[in-house]
Amino acid sequence: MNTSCTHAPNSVLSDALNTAPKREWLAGINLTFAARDETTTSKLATSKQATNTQATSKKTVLSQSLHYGPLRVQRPFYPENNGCCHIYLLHPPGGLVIGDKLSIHLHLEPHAHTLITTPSAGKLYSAKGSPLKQGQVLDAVIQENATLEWLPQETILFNGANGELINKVVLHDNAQFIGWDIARLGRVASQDYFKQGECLQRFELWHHDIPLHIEKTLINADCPSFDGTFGLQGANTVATFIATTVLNRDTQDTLVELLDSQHNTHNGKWGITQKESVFIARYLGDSVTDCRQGFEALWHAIRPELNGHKACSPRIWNT
Amino acid sequence: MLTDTALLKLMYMVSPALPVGAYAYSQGLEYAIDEGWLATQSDVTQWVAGVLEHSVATLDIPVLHRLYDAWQINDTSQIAYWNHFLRASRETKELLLEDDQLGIALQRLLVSLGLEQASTVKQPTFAAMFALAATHWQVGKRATSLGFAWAWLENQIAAATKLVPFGQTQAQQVMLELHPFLLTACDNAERIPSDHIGAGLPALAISSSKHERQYSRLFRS
Repeated sequence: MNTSCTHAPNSVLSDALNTAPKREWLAGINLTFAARDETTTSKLATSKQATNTQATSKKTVLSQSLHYGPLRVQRPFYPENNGCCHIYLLHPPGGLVIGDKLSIHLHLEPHAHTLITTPSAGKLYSAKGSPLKQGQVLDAVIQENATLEWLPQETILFNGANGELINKVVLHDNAQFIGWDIARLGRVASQDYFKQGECLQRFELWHHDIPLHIEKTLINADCPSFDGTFGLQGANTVATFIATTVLNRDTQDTLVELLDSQHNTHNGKWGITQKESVFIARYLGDSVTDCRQGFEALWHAIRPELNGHKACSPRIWNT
Repeated sequence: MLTDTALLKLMYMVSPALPVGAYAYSQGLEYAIDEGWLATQSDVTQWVAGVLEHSVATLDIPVLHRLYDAWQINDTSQIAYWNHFLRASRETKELLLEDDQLGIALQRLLVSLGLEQASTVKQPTFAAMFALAATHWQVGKRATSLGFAWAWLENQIAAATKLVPFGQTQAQQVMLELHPFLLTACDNAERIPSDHIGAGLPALAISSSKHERQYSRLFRS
């Protein structure tokens, strides 16, 4: 057996991020979102319509934003007419070198609705043999009736990276989550293959203190699971999509057909499953573009089921 | 040392005749074989050994150990925690269904044998009930994990035998070839810290997802 498959238990990620920054390469952001009643009404609206609008309309605002190090958000966008707050999360250095860590804490107050994306792919550069972990932790708490859409662009693992990508989402009653985590191994177009290094992808979804879904994928270039039929099959893109929605069998069948027909070049394999209250889709293949398009298609199909609103793609995805 | 009495109980617990229905599940093997991912005896051996090392040894057995410890002191909150953790870690509807069905079948059996404590666990996993039986009958922790892993392996080989043209002899050869892997899996499982417990084998998860929709199946979904 290959002992190199064991994930090195020397992670300092979680501990370091839960305390004040001690080193300048740490960056973190702490965002709170609150739903406010919309009091402004359209001048064209009649008084009766205005009353109706006031009674039902909520706008999510970024009520608090604290940060340290190079991690920022732009001013919120409201491209939809439902009060959903769109946020672009920016990491100006553009990538993580040895030991770099990003910590993202999100707190959605009751009824808040926030969509977060990133303007470009995340990058974990080579750790050059360093045992220090580099990576990102998302820690989100979604309170009653709030919805978080966590739709970052993919993370590219450069050859030699030593990463951890950790997502923990805690739902309160009737809270909803839809999100994905896409890892791309190496940059095949530049002949940069992921031949050494490792990255732990961990995803946890909880309802209060009960775990609903936990997965922990260890990508390790030296490990038999990297090429193994049972593991990564030598693919360069591995990704999981999760949504707190229950889809009936017909809808699932339609989604399978959609994925298999439109997004299944480059040896791509799709799997979807409805595990109790959690819908899960997975991609394993050699095309991050297929994966992104497939996940976006799922998001467009599922969002109306989740919260009654048509998906509105962030404009930055088109640039 | 395992007493003769405990050994007899362990053999009872891991017998394929234990009426829990484990034989009805292939855990992704059926789709992987049907789809041609696994064509030869060697392919099947590598798949089973890989799942054993990277999933059973990093998730099931370490959780079994913690459930065993919790039952020994009847720590109901730890029993509930690790039972939830294991259910949440099942990759697909099908894999969760299997664990739920086996767990509830073993729960009924244990209650009917007088182990009333079994009924205190809601939505019991197979490991939660197996650990209770093992502590009740004083089977040591190491023997419990070896027995659990052996039963899993035996079931996977039985499934493979139905799915590929394995002769009976070949199947027995594979089984014996993989016995040393059971020891390594249990050794590794003993060393894993609690916050590293978990599994995620993308191809296994996708295979199980696809098996849920496979047109014609021998094994349950």
